Amino acid sequence: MLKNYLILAWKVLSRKKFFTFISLFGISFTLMILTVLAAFLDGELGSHAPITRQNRLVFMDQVVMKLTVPDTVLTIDSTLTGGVMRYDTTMEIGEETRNYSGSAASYGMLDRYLRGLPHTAEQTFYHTQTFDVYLNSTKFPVQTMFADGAYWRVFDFEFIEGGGFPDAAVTERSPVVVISRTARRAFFGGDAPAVGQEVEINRTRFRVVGVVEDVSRSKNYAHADAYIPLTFTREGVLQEAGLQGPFSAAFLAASPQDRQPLKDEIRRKAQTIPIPDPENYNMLELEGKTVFESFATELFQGEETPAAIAWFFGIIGGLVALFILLPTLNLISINVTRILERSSEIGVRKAFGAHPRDLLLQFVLENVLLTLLGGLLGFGLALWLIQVLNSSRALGNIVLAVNYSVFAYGLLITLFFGILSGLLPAWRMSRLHVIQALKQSPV
Amino acid sequence: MIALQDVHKVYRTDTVETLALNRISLRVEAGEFVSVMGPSGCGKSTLLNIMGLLDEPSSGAVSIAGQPIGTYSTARLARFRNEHLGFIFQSFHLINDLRVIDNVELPLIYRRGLSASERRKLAEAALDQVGLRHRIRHFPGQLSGGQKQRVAIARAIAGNPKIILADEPTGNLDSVMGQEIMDILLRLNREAGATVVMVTHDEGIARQTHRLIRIFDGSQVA
Repeated sequence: MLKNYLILAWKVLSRKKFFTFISLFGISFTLMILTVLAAFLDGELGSHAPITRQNRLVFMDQVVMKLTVPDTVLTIDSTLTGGVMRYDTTMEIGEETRNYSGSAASYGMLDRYLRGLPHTAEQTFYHTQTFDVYLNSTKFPVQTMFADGAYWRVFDFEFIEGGGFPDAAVTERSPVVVISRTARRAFFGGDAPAVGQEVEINRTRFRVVGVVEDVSRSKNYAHADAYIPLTFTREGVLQEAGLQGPFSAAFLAASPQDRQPLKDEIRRKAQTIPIPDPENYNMLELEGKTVFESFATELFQGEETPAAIAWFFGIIGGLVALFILLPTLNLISINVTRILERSSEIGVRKAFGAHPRDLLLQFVLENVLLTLLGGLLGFGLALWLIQVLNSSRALGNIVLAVNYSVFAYGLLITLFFGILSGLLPAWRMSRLHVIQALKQSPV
Repeated sequence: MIALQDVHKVYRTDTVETLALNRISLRVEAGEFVSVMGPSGCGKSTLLNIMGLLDEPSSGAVSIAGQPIGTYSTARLARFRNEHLGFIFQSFHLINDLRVIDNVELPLIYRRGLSASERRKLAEAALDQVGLRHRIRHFPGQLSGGQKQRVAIARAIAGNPKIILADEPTGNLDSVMGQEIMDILLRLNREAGATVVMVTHDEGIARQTHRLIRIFDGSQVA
């Protein structure tokens, strides 16, 4: 019986080409978008190099200083009742922020107050700066990461050759550099080994000790063309007296369970740090963020972390809902029309011995087959689009990879809605009286 | 073979009550070919639908092959129709998306214990009987009206039912085609021993059957 229904469903679908095309298009397009979106988010937020231990990572890239003063707001409401004026006075005591300054951190502040916090296995302090390098008269802006030796222990880069530089290279100010695959191509042309060769950045010659795979531009803590010891940063930067400067910090918590206590520790630590300019600022805020929180606040700049996360989920959730809802509504509307058109068939089948259950199963199976076909097509389209996006580098350094579990969930959701969209009209029609079904027939 | 005892059928809406059949009692014996005639709206099709277990009487009893049908569940009724009854409709009611052979196989899909090859053999044999074996791969849209009705007859007889119920099978056809269909039905009755009950408006067609039942305003008048 089941085999018959499948064969029948296949025959109906192959005969109703336009209907099948419209439905397949909706389903496969949805799955393609969901799969590519998931691949993008997985590439950005998943546990891939250089953040395979992302469940232990905490970033601190903002030092916020404020001057807040008590603020009292007096509200007087007046109402005229029976010729008598009444006054209702409300006094609200709150806070007003007079001064605000948000910036990255100074090396001194990080080194003095945030090094060796409890729950930390390792921490690294780094900042970036771009230098123009001229190669055969062509300008190559080299984004340079000034990092310490711990940087290579906190982040696990994918090395194509060589490795990172040790702590000693930082303290001894050894002119060594790790470059990206793109930089290797720019400096040396092609993919020939570069370790041992020299590159000149900001009028200093550095010896290449390692080459890493490119990192997405959105991962500002790891994206660079060249990584050099932070002791080569411009003079005075490491000795800045204030709390703010160009540096960010990344902490590797001792374990995933230590990540939240570490974030709490960073927030608490802010209360103990003396503010150098108490007349202008009386409050210091430091916030440790996870990879996801860091991504969300980077995406929705100006928003507090909870608001940025809410925006992120709102937009992603809205997009996913929209992309699932559209083909579902499309399927429901097509199914209702299609099944109504088939009232004659329903009447005939019932007359010749079909039970309502048989008809329900038949129509639902048609939908399942259609959805599975759409799913396969969508998967093929997603693979193709990912291949096109990767090879054209349309998303910069972001390399997309198919996330099979998201595809499976997407297929399940579409299957669910596919069945649901067919079930209601099929159920109604399967209960239609045989005489009525035959009379409604357009034949 | 078919026995109706005091069958009464009333269609009710919120405001209107329409009497379709008024205390009809009749018997159709096994192997009989009976035609039912009467003016439009007199209850002929309702009578046929009740005989074919497609509709229930408001009161009265129906029995087929000695079976008291009134007590049957929906599932048992469906199975009974599948095994004992074949239907032919005025407007053919073929499924346009399916090939001729698949249309003819349709009743056999709902019959338990038949393999695909058995179904195919039965359907081909039925198409042989109506002379359309060569059209098995065609779709209904590619056939003439007469051919469509022959496919509908093949579908009705594919499962070898004892009873064939035909609702104006020649109504949509010209006289030549109509007679061709009538010849097939007569042959099925004569050679296969099928009991046939046929609703018709055509006196000439009705005269070819064993017995004529006349209905007027829901009552049997002859």
